Amino acid sequence: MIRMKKKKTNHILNIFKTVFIALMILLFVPEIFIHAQDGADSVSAKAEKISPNLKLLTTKNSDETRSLIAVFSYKDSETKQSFDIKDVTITFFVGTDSLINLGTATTDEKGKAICSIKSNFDFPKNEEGFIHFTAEFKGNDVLEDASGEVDVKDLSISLTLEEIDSVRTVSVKVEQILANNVRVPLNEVDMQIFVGRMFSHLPIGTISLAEGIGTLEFPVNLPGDTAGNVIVIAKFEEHEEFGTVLKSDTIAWGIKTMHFNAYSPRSLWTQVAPVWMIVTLSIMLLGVWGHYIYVIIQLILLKKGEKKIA
Amino acid sequence: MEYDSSKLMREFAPQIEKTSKSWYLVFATLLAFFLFGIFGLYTQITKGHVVTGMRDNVVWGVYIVNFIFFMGMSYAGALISGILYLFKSSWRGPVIRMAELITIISLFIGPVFILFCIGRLDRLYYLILFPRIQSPITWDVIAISTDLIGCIIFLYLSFIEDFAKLRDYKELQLPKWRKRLYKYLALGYQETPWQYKIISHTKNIMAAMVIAIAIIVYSVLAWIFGVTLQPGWHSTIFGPYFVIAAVYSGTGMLIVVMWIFRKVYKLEEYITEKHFVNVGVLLLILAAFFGYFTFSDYLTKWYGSIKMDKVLIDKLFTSEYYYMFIASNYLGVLVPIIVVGIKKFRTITNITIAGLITVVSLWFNRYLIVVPTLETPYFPIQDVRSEWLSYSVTWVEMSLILAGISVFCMLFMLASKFVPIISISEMEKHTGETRGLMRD
Repeated sequence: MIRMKKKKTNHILNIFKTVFIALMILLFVPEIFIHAQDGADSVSAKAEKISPNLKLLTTKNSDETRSLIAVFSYKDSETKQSFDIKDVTITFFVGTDSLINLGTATTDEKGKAICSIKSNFDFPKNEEGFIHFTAEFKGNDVLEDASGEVDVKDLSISLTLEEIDSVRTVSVKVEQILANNVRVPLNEVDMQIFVGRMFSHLPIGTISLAEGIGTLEFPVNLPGDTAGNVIVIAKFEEHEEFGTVLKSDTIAWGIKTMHFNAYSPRSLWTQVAPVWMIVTLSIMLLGVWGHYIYVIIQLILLKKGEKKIA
Repeated sequence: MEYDSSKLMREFAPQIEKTSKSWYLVFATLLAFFLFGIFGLYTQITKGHVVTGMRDNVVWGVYIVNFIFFMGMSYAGALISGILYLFKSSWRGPVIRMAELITIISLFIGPVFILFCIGRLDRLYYLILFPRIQSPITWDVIAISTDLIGCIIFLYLSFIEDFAKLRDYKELQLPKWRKRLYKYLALGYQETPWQYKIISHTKNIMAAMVIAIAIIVYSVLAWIFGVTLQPGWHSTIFGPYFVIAAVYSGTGMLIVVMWIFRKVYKLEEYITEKHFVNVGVLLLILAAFFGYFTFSDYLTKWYGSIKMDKVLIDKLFTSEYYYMFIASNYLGVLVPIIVVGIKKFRTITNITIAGLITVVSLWFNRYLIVVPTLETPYFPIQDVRSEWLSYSVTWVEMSLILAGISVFCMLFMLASKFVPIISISEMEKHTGETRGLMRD
């Protein structure tokens, strides 16, 4: 009988053991396979280098500084999926015959490397007034060399915000800056005007430039911040001749907006703690420390009693 | 088995009188680890926090993990010893002192790890000069200092009767200053009914106090996380979850400590398999509770599908945290349940292994609460170096972890040379009784 019971227990234990091992395999094996595949991928990567794409964009900011943005990615030939490549160093140059090194930048999670250039930098221009920018990646064990280039003309935008005959008017003056600083007004080109919102730019109209000048009536019903301020932006976006160029200014032409605060002010930030907190904490501390003091008094009495016993 | 005072004194006197070469060797090794930690700390103070893995995104690392871990063990020790004493468990005799020592030693070590995190230690006294009781950090400072004092009083109360026995045991071969010290600390205790009443009464009060304080203090620590708007932290369940996790890890540590002292001081007669099974059953119950709380916490976060909560959970299941997550929340729960739940596996060695797995798992659990959350903020810092976004432990932090563990072991070793590691007075009071929770 006892032997039968023991046999049964051993049988149950064996079943348990098998289930436990199976559970452990299920937990760990998928990961092992994943890592094994990773390894296989890296081996194949070593055998054949990846051919990446390097796209170069340029933006002339409102403060006259210029940003060169290199976007580094590669496209999987099988899945046709595009992947951003991070942590690679891109070198930026300007010029055609003799290249001027502008510096280096490392790509971020989105594969972007940004090189910022001061507003007073004197860019070399060709006869037509184009500035030639280049971005280069020198390649490594996994990736082939890559380069991207862009040619843009320098542009000067003046943005004036003023009320003319009680009409809020946005005026722009746009000039091309060609070789030897020759300025030529831009003609028969449309320029978009935007207002900055929280997540994007809201287009409010288009100005057709004539002799480099144009105006737009600003709408009266746009919400601004609590002081009514709005940011007005005149912009060319990824223009084939000028790249991205923008000019912005802030003015109180919006409707003052009072935001409803859904959260009550946090007590943590007040000068004095809430009364309920002070009362609760005081009661708790008095209770606890009162007991401590009582126990210590009892111990003192114990010590004093020593003499009596002696 | 009957235990009388003289037999117990004869048994435990050599533990206090004599120190073996191997004791010195182990102590010297631990001291070397401690000094290595001091060197790490010197490097951190002279070169700044840049030598740690902490950066703008992950501002807390293993120091906070260790702080939570040691504080947890401390509260567990307080709860276990308080409950065992208050409910007059018949088997508490050989266990209660170890639980008390875990409490007090962990409570000395834990808060020190907070200091390692602070960039401007020179401003530490501002906490006292300009306290804001609205701040959970201030609650923590008040709570920990209150807890520390309470635990010291409780520990001292439980030592008085043994100090008196050490004072009165004439055969004890110790230097005169040690005997004078025992005499002084015994407060003239002669076991008169009046004195016995005072000690019993005050011990009952303090046992109740340490239980209540342990729950409150560890809840306060949990609220520091719970009141913070971070993925994975802003949870109402964190208070009880932390308390359960603390008692769970402390119970695991108690089993490990029991096993070590049983082996080292050959206490097989006093710490029997029944004691391991009883503490093991406590471990099993806590494992079930801990598993339940963990599942509830992750289930509600996963189902709620708040974007960053989901990102955090995905990270735990797919990134380098995968094995840590499995070890913490699967092995850490299942192993104690299986080992203690199935009678065949219920041996001293297996229960000790389960206890050790619990301790390691719960350390991982705290790491998973602190680090992945800080790596997944609602509003990530933009345009910073990618290496600042994640955390990895440096040798300086490792050296200080080692130092913390070494100090824990060293203080235990020193305590065992100062008082019997098993409470003689408790053993005397409950000589071989088999009632209550005692198992067959």
